[in-house]
Amino acid sequence: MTPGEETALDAARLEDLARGALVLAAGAEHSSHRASLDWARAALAEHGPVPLIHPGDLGSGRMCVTVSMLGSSAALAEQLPTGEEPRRAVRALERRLGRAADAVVPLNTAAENALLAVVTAASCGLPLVDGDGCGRVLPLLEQTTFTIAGVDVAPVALATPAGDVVVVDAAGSRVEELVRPLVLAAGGWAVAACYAMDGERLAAAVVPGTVSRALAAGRPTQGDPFTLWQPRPRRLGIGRITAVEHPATPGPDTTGGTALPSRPTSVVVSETEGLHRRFRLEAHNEALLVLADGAPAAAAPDQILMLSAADQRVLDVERALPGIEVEIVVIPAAPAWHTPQGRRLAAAGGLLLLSPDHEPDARQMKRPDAERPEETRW
Amino acid sequence: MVRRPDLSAPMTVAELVQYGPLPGVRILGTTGRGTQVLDVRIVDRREALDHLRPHTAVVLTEALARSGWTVEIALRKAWEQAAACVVVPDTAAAVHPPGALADRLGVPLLLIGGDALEGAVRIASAVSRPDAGRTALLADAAQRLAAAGPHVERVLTALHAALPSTSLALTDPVGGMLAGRRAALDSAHPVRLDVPGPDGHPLAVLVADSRSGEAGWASTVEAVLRMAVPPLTAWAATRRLAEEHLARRSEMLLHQLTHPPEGEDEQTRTRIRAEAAALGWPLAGPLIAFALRPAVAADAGAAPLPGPALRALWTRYGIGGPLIAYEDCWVSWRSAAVGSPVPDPEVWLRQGEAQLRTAVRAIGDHLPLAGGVAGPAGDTGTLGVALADARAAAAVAAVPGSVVRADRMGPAQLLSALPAEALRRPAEVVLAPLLAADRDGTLLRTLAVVLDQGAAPSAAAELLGVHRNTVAARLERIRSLGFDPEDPAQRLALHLACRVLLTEP
Repeated sequence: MTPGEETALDAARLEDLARGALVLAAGAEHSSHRASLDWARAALAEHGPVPLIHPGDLGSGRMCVTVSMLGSSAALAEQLPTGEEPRRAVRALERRLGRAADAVVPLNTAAENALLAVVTAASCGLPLVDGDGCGRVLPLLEQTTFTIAGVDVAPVALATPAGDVVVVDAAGSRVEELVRPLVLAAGGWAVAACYAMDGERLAAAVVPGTVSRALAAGRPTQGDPFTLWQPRPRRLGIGRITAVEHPATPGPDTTGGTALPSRPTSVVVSETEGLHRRFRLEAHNEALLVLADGAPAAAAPDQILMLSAADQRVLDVERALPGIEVEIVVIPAAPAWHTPQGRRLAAAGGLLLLSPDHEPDARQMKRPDAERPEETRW
Repeated sequence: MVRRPDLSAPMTVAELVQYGPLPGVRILGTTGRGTQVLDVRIVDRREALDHLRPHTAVVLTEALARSGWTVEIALRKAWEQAAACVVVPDTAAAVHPPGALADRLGVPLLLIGGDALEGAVRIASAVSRPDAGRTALLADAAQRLAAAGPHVERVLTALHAALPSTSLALTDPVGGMLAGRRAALDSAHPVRLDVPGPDGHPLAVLVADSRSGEAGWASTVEAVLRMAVPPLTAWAATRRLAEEHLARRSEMLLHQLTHPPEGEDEQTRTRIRAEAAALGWPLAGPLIAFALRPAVAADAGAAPLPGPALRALWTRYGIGGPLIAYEDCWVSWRSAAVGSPVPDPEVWLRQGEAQLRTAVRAIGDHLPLAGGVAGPAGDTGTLGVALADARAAAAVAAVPGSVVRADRMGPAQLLSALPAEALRRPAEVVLAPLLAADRDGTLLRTLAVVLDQGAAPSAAAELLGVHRNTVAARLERIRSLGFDPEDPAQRLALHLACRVLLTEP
């Protein structure tokens, strides 16, 4: 957050945030995004603007909790929230820990999760931290910079739209397995409050500034969505999509009948300027690798995006069609993701890492959705 | 001097494709095909791409090749490390294999049928013994050509089978397509070989599209083409023999048909007619006879030389029916009733004359001809007479492109058939007084026209475009010089002399 930036999220800024939150989740479900936005509007109207605070300003001795949506985003649009879920989840966590929360942190600032954090902060009367635990989007609850920094995800308090509250206290690596069936049993989605930590640890572990950069990206007059982003996204080139391919015979590593949104896709972009290179984006849920004339130009965990040249909006891989003119942009991942531990963690969710050091090994390169249903991604 | 392919030079990527050690191979990327292949490397892990040796054929296993991006990385790594080409199994290749990238980097991408490992073994054996591959190709071509025999289509089929992904064509000496694939003629790197006819004259040209400019491959293609020359020459010889045979047989048959020997039995006549019918000859009268005479052939007696050529032109531009050598010219005939609703000999003849004139003019672009029309003959028994009449008419029609009807041969046409050069001097002696008085040739022309018109001044005046009195005045002057067109003793000599002198030398 640069000096002079807004320190409160009001109804107008909420609209910017909603738009900016789609930069990292271009494929987000439209209906659930609308439902979350309506929810956040109602929360702000009821409780007033949410103060936005810098992670470093919290200090030690003050507790912050991380909130996230779990389960299927589509289920959210079908089973609408009662409005009480975030507060009940935070209260359950507070009861379990025996101390009150002082701030709310988004798990990531993408699609519903950014808006849910606003709802939680508003309904609990707490400030929202300008930062998140990921800096991008990863499918598993434990795939955060918090985990890399040694912060435990548990205890996790779940609140479901049916009124259930469940607190799960488990050794870190088993949380995902325990929570997943609970969410399914609860009707498809739940709000989780987790990663309780004090302000000092947060400042060390968080990816800072993600809320304000999403706000900047969503500002309507802005031509370039990344003006305020630090570090600056890398622009690889502008070109026209010449082919979109889906490997005809999926390899043995993609068995499990993965449904449509997560089939492997290759997008070929012919550069229309400069060197006239041939880009090839390899995507599975998201773009994992981009080759320029066969040489890797960027790879996960850095985020690879296609911006539609017409309106500078992020183009979802699933909506890529031959003929569209796009700019390929790489958003560097937070430095924590480039440490060996970070790379291992990113790969655990199925992110195929293809950087020159050839990590991880084949066992870790299993596809993300082979064993886990698509719904549990958020 | 026959250039022999360099048998022991290392194989290039292009040769690897052309020699066919790889079944069903396709090559993408137009550049870099001349790179020599010295080694093979099977790659089953992506990391192995980091350590390639120059001039290596990089074979990706099916599992690796299935992800298109790995193929692109392989092309890139091959380019960075100067490898020769990247080989992937066709079954694993994407719907749109990265041919554009192969082109851009100058590293050919080979898509092979069958298994990657098997392909690698084949490449390895071809690379280790390049001479074996080339020799095998030549041996294979020789066997195929021997099996094909002297038939032009079969020879070309054999060549196409022996030289995979090479287009071949047979053209005439000036480049007209005769057989094969037209693509060969548009080649950027053509290999050409002359095929001599049985008489040693150029008969045709074999053209192959060698697809690549590699010297080694072009000389191999040429060596294969050279093996195809003898069967092609033999093909031409057999065709000519057959043509000659047909011509002779037709002449004999026409003679038998038109000159039935005395006492010919019914059986023989039926056999001859059946044979003629088998050749497609019109036999049902009335028949219109045609004769064609090369306008330049001065030596009478000898049958006109360009038989096959004329026959071909007749087939193309003629009015149907056979074309048979007949004494010093060629004759044909057709059934008069065909295409003519009115049973009127005059109509038939006029029609025949018009048709023959069209044909003679069309053929005249290639071979100057004059024609004669005669008939109708009631049946084949009188066809001989009609053909003789047509021949006589053709002999009179001296000017190339002209057609004369036998029943309309006028004195002017008969006279113009005379050897004008030989008679010019005597004619000048006969008409000497007239020529001396006639400065601009008016009197000579007037005398000739008056004689043509049977000494009728009014008809002559009309033809000359002057008043009748003018003609009368000129005749008066001519008479005063001692010539009388109405004197039977003088008339033939005068007419002859006028025509001879009026014929352009």
